[in-house]
Amino acid sequence: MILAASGGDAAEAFVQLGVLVVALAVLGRIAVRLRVSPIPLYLLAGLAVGLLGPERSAAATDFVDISADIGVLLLLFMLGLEFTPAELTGELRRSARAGMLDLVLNATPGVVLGLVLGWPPVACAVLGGVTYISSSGVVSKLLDDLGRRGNRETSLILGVLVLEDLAMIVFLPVLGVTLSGLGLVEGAVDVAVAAAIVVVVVAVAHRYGEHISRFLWSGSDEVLLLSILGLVLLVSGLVERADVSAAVGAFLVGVGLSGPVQHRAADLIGPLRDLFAALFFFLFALEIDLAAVPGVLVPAVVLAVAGVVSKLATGEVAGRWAGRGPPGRWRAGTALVARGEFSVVIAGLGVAAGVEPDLAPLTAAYVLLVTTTASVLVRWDRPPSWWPGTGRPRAAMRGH
Amino acid sequence: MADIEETELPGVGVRREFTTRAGMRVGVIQTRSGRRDLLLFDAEDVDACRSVVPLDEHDSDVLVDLLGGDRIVNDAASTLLRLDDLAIDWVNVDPASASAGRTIGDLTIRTATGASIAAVMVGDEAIPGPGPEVVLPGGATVVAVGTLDAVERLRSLLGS
Repeated sequence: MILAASGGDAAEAFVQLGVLVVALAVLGRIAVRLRVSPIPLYLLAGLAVGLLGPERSAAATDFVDISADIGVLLLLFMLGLEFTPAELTGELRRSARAGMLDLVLNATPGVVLGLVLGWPPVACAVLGGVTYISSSGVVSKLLDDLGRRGNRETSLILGVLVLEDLAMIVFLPVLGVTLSGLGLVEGAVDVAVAAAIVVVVVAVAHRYGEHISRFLWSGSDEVLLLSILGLVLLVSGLVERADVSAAVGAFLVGVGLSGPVQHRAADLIGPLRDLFAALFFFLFALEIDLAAVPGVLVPAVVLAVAGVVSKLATGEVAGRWAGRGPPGRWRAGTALVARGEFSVVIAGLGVAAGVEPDLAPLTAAYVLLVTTTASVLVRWDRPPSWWPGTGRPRAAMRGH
Repeated sequence: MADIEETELPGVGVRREFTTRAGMRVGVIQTRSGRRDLLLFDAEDVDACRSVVPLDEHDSDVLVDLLGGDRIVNDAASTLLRLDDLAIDWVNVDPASASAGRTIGDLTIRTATGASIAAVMVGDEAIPGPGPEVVLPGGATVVAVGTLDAVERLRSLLGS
């Protein structure tokens, strides 16, 4: 009897989830065919479902809700996993200047537009984060797909990505605490607690990362998958309880893993991340109030133009500092233009805290526009003639 | 030796590059996963690669063989391999040496030096795993295996 009752409910949930995942799969297929990032398509799917408003079963809705949260954790875990603590500190020395430039040029458009729209300061900071951070997933895939792994501007691009990673270590906890909307005193205490947790985790990861990784290591993929996933959920949950965003915990776990565990974790968690993150993007767009969309279109276009130009300028100037030629500088800029998963993640944190109703639609429109533009721009190996950075052709400036 | 420029690629590995004597820029990325990418840089757009050849570990070994094979034969005086307590080296038999023209057994090489002779090469002819009756004519090359000291003792015995 019980089986039959829950069976009916489960059947409905399975059908709805099945339709959803199949739809996302079809969109993913289209993205692969067009060689673009699937994230904008997932966002469009969310908007479309929001528009059609089909009836949703409670079980399926619950599943998508928690899956989307797990998606955020896994996205940030994988971001942290990408670089070892040694690479983070090494690159902090090498690429600090390029990283600062990237931060100043690319966070500014978001913050300024927020202020112009009269948003509260926290929402402006969130929007600054949205415009600042490049999509490391899209960038590294692009470097592989276009055979640019060996190019000399690649070290510059990766250096900037590492510095963005480091910025997140500072930005996420501070944002998490600020978003919790406490008063000045409690806020200050919480920022201190958050900072302490981050410092402790980073120090532990730096000193004992290898031991932890060795302890976790197992030749069995199954055991390793369960260990890593369990650790991510556990640490994230505990960190969230301490009023620091769970996303920070997941990110720091990723930073802490090293050696063989790091490589296998990327292979094992990657597919899970793809599934849960797809649901996160979908849900993010689904929850957008469609009535707010027309109102944000003009700001979104302005922000997208500023965001594209600011990343191109970052590549141009940082490339000049590094002694790259005009084509290399252009390629560095175009590669960094792509925004995606982390812009949506940052906006998601703001949306969850309810800082500004227009944040979600504006971010969705911005990511759609910028990602589409980026996928066109990267096809040019060399700067088009209208780009001011072209300059003289260089044959004499080989090496350094 | 050409100048080798080394660049860290965070999250990927290390890129090393140099300019060939003919002026081409060539590089190798050693990735964390063990894969290597052979890079040929473009002459005009100097930051870009004209081609990238991904090599797994086996491919790299094959390429090293192809590139290194001739040099080993040509350069018999150089040490091929030297591990902590194992040396494998090529030793020439000096025609002026008192040992030239005598057999391995006569010279009691193993007892006298501690090194073993894995092969003897006389002109184009190679004798792998030579017995004590094999003669070491002047001008021959032997492949010696042993500790570093043993191989050095053999080198002075054969007077080269």
